[in-house]
Amino acid sequence: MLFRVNQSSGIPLYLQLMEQVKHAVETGALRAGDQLPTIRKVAVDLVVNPNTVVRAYRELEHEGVIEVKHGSGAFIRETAVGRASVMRKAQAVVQSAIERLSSLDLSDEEIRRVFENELAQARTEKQLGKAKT
Amino acid sequence: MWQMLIYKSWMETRLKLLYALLLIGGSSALMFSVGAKAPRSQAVVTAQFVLLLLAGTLSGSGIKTQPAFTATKGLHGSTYYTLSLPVARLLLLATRATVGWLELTFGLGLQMCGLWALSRSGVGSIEPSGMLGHAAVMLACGTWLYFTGVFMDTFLDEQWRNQGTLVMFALLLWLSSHTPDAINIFKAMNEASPLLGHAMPWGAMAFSFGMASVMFFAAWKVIERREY
Amino acid sequence: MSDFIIETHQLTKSFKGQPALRGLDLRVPAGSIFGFLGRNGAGKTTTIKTLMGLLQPDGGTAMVFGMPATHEASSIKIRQRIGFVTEDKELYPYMTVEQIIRFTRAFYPKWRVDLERRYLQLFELPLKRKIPDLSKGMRSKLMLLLAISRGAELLILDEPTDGLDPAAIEDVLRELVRSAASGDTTIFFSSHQLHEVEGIADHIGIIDRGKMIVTGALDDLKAQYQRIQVVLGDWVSPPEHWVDGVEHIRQEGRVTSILASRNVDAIVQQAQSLPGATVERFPVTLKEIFLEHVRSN
Repeated sequence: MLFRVNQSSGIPLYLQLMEQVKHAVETGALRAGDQLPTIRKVAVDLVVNPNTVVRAYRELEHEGVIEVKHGSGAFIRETAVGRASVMRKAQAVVQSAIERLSSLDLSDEEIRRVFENELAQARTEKQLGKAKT
Repeated sequence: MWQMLIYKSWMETRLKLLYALLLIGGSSALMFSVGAKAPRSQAVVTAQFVLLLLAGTLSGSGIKTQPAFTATKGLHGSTYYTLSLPVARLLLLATRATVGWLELTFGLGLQMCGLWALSRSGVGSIEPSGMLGHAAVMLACGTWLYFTGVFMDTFLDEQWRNQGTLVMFALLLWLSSHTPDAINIFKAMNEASPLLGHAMPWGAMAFSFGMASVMFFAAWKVIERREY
Repeated sequence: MSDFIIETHQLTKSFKGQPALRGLDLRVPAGSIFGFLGRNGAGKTTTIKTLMGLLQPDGGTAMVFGMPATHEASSIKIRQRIGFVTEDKELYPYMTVEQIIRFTRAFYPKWRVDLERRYLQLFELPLKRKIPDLSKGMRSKLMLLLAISRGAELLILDEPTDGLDPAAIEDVLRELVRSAASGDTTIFFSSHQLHEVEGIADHIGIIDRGKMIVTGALDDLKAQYQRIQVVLGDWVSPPEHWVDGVEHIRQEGRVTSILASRNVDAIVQQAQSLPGATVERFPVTLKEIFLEHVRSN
């Protein structure tokens, strides 16, 4: 099955679903034109609220990852796959960064935390910048 | 929908009816065994006593669906289920009361048949009109007693309802000694009965029906407001 | 009619002088699966009984489908459109499974025979068995069958998974999701199993001592609430006053753990302004939100 959710991680379920679709596109598990399972099927299989799936699909559509055709379902868009090639480039960048960090004797866990902290900081600064202007 | 309510009421009351029928059978057998020696007035008194028991037994339960002690949680168990159905409480009460009243009528009829058979076997001939009249009086007067039981049941819970109803009946009996003969139901069923050659006690019968309606109305008002 | 299927305003109710509801405001959006949470005795069942017209509130209003639940005539109309599972799962002890289904069907013109058959099979309910001879789990499933097969627009379920084993809980929750996914059914259910609520509910309300203390869309709540962990340098003490939005602070050695209900970014910024501070943020589970409010209330 495509989706898995962790109910007790605290991360909103719709975000988990979105991440998994994007990840599947990046790894090539989903390709342009592939159809996603129906909202009802995902909801019933995962035992999650249908509105959660609706929201995940809607946000994915908004981000241009999928295209929702009325009556026939949701499909992966061409552009999303283009995005996937960008992601593969990013992967290379991160790979080299990790190699260098490992050479500083940082553990996986430490590397992950550094990334997350910097991301959080960047997010805060970006929002502050927005607030100032 | 009301068919199902009747069906449900029947399932709730059938054991009580069986009990009532045993009571009638027993009392009739008793009268038979005493047989010809018994004066007719004694048969009438016995019949009246049985009627009190019948009315007390068959009137039970109101709209409650099971004895409180069989519920695992809360006081009323499956009564919540009944109350959650899209049905007015008045209809629930009316169906249940009607089914019980029909059972009372049936029981009374059987009892009167027993009395009739007894008279054939030698208590002395009874005029059919007197017998029918007595049956009508018993039903009319029993109706008040029955609805008193229905009313008592709306606010007394299982463990208290039988005692409460008996106390209420005793109270009515005591009050009857201070009641004018024209509306005295106990006299009408007993020494003033058409069975003993008296005229039909229309006043007492009408009064009894009136009181039965008052009791039903009171029961409805309690049930309408009661929180379960 | 408003967008809320259920809407109560300042609902109060006391039992023998003991307040059970103390000004409850409850709003359940149409089409939602609403998880109604609270400790035992918080007022969940009293609320549900009021919505079903079994109790008269002392004050306030309770509307279901835009009609007052407190008047018998409109309450009957409301009940025609509701599937109900009672807290105690008690059904008539003198009926069999088949009889209670036949009985209940008569009251609901929109009864769905297809769903009835489906659930009889899925839940493996023995038609001829008397209700007292059913296990607690089977009775819960039977009640759910009786509730869902009514073709109701609103399911009011008082602890529907109480007494079920994990496999049965999964079955029941899946069926709730299925009926929510198949149309305009709104589901309002009470529970104290937070993890199951977290999965299937899109809206929640936490009731404590007869009052609604947190309510809203679950995703919004999760976006608002964050745990912020601040590690301070050795000689730095945490500030006396934090920005508005801090619900709870726990101090363990150098680590300050903050639960924030809003203004997360401002709090993070304040923490980062402290000398030598390392700041991390974590998502919060429903359990943390629940415990935080119920304990501090």
